Amino acid sequence: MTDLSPDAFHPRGAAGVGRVGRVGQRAYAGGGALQDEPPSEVSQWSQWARSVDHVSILICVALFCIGVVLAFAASPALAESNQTSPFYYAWRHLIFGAPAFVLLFTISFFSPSAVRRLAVFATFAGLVALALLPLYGTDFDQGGTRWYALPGLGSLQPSEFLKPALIVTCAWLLSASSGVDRGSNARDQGLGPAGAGASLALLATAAALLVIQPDYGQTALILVVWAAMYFVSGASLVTLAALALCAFVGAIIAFQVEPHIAYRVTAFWEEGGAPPQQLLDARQAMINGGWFGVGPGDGVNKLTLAEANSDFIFAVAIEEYGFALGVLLVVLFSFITLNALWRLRRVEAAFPRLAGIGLALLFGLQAFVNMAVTVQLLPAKGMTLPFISYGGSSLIGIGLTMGMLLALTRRRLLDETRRF
Amino acid sequence: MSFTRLKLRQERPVRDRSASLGGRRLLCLGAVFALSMGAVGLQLAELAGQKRVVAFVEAPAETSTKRGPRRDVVDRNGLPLALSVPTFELDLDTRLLRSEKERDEAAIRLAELLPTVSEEDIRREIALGAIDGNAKTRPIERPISPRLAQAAHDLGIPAISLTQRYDRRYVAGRATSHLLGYTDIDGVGQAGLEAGLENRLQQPASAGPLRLSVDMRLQTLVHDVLSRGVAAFDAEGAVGLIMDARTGEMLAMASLPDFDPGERPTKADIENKERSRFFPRAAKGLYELGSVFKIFTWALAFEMGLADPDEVLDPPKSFSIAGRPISDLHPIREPVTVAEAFAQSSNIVAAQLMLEAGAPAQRRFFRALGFDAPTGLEMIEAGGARPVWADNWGDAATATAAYGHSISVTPTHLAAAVATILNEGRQVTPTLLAKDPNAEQPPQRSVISPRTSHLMRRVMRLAVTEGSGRSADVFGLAVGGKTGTAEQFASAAGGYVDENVIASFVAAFPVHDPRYLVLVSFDQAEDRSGPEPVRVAGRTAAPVAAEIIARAAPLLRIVPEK
Repeated sequence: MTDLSPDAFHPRGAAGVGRVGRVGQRAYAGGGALQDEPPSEVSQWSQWARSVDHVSILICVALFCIGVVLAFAASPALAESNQTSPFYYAWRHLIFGAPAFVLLFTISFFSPSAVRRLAVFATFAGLVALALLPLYGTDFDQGGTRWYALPGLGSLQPSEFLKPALIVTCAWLLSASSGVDRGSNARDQGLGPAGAGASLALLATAAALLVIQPDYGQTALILVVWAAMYFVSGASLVTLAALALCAFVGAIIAFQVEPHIAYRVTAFWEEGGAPPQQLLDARQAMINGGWFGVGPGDGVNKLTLAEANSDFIFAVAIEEYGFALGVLLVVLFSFITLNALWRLRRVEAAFPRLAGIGLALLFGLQAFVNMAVTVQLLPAKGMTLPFISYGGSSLIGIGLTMGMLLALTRRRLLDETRRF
Repeated sequence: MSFTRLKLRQERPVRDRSASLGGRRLLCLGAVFALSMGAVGLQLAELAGQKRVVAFVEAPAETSTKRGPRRDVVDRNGLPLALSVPTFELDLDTRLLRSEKERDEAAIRLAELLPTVSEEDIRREIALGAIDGNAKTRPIERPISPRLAQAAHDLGIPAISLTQRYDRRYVAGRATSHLLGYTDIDGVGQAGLEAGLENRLQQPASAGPLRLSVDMRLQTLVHDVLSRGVAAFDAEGAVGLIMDARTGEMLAMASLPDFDPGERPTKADIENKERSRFFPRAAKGLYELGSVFKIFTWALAFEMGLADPDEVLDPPKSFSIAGRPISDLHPIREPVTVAEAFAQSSNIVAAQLMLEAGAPAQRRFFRALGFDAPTGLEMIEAGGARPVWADNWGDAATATAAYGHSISVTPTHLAAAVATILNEGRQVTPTLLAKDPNAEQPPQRSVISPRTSHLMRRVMRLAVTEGSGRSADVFGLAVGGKTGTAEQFASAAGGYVDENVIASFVAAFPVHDPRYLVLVSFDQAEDRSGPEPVRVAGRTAAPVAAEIIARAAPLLRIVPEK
């Protein structure tokens, strides 16, 4: 029933644990291992230090540093047009990093149940905030009422916080009806629709509120992540296909209703169509960058590229540092997601497993969509590049996402993975 | 649904078949994600491998045809006439001026730096750049020196762009303006030698400078004397040239009116055609040059044995051919020798001699003298200048052409033909390129016999000592020459007009062994020093030619002889 392979007892990630003794080594073996007594003498700090995904934390810090460097290159143009000092936005990016990383580290200490509580609370708060947006929100003339203006502080985009919380809450609900512990007694084993249905209802509510803004990009993102979680939780492929059909119909409706979506999609598909200037500029920037870039600060296309410091910062990165940095970013983002999935493979309990998968995919997909749009593999859709794009809400939301993900991917005692 | 049940369920561990299913689905998800990211990586590589295009630069024609320096042009002594100097064009990329502060800074600091550009000029260009549809890169000043360009670069304003070019500088200024011509902004020759020798001047700088036959001292001298002549006689225009009478090398060649090498033809200049200051009269202007053509008439008569210099004639007082009267300015009242008739410039004698020679011989002779083709001078304008004379050539034409009417040639044609007559009869081809005196020259075709050539030297000397060209005599230099005062046919007036006169003097010195040929020609010159304005060449072109000869001779190391 459990994994007793030597690998499970000698995890690579728990270096130094050996000194604590056989007990400790076993205790912190990879997720699914059968354990002895929990080592009570180990402090909470060292527990965290031994169990957390160090590499991912390092990558997050590295990504943020890259983001700061790029912000100094990409944001002066925006600062000029908004009549502020050239590095205003770069400094703000740096300052927003503090709460984001405080959040990331704090939450990474949480147990899965604490993560769940936080997520459920944040989901309700987020839904209320989202629902009130049409009344109190502002659109900053950017097509979409997505923000609360906070005098003196800037703005707040509730959907950035709602996304991870909603995913975790849905994972919790899905895990209740999870097929992974399907047994002989259907009632007892929770085949009942309660969990999945409730999560779908919650998802639909959030999606509806996002469409009202409208924010089709975020809507699509949470739908895809939810579908992935549902898929892993053991959903029948027939149900999935039915849901996919619904999503397809929804997409067609969106295409018909929203001219800008139709424009972006046709501009992407049609050969010789007129792509938006933004995409042309981005393409120009990336070609100009070549393999190793034109050098720090020497990019020129960034000056005319719209949203250079947020949605299209990837193009700025490539113009100045070339293919080399582009591929490095792809590898780093991929690593965080794939490494999380790899660690979650060993987690047996349904909730942390599903929630972790959801958060990892939310993070990875957001990065993927941003980069794929920039390199023009996908139609234009505004989405921030985690840790790198400018945006306080986005940065703090990513801190929340990664904090919860790190909390869920920590190596735990088997007891903890079962009861939390 | 109770939360207790929810909690119990979610705590159940993954197990058995379901566990492996969930595990496989998870792997499947990871694989799809990894592949998607891989696609991004591939697309990145595809973009990185594409040919880099220079961002922001709207490749203007100037940059696309950017060339290296054009070859320098030097005179026969190696003195520079046309130089390629590195200069810069200063432009402002208005897209890089993103705030009012930057625009102010650029305008104020550039105006401080550039002596010729005002702050208002720069602000106007910046404003123009902001208008949709206008070029975003605005020209501010060109050319500027490399030092000024460095100073502009050091301002550290990213919007300033500096493009290096090679500008043409003409050392002698106006004196060589027609001769050398000019280039366009891309350094492509547009006029004069610059255009005529385009291929040679485009050769890499390693080919060394291009050496002309022109002597800059003589060129400026001729230009100077001619300019003063034009001012003194209030002439419309003038041509002056000095040619090596043996090799055909042009030592100086000037046309007036002229232009500053920095000027370019305006619309009015183009409409003015032959009256334009951009019209190189010496190489391109076709004129009926009048009595100077008697040189050819007398030469043909001597060559055909129709006359001897000392043979005495008693020409009729009046003469008409085909109903057209021919008269002399100074009617001959007593018998004269053939040489004296030349010196006194008798039209009647000229007509009679030529009628005796006959039209076929005359036409053959004109062709042999090169009046059937452009001169071959290297200036681009010379290429199209083919002499004009009728195909149906009656007695009237034969007679009038004997004294230089009914046929229009360029001054260069005339100079070359006279040089041929005096150069032992061997054909002289005019050129503006220096000939290597040590190199073997191609044999010159013989047009007339040396004897005829020697006779012509005699009669031309007589025209200066006793005839119409007396004012051209320079003490000790043995100048020989011939005047020509030709009324021009003006279609507007419907005939030949008294005031519209081209007065020419063609001279050679020392005439017993001609080394140099000088031609001076004025368009509508009037000597107003007397009570009546006088337009004859003896009073206008001849004294100017004398001035040129007197001043040029020392430079040519020809010393006066007793």
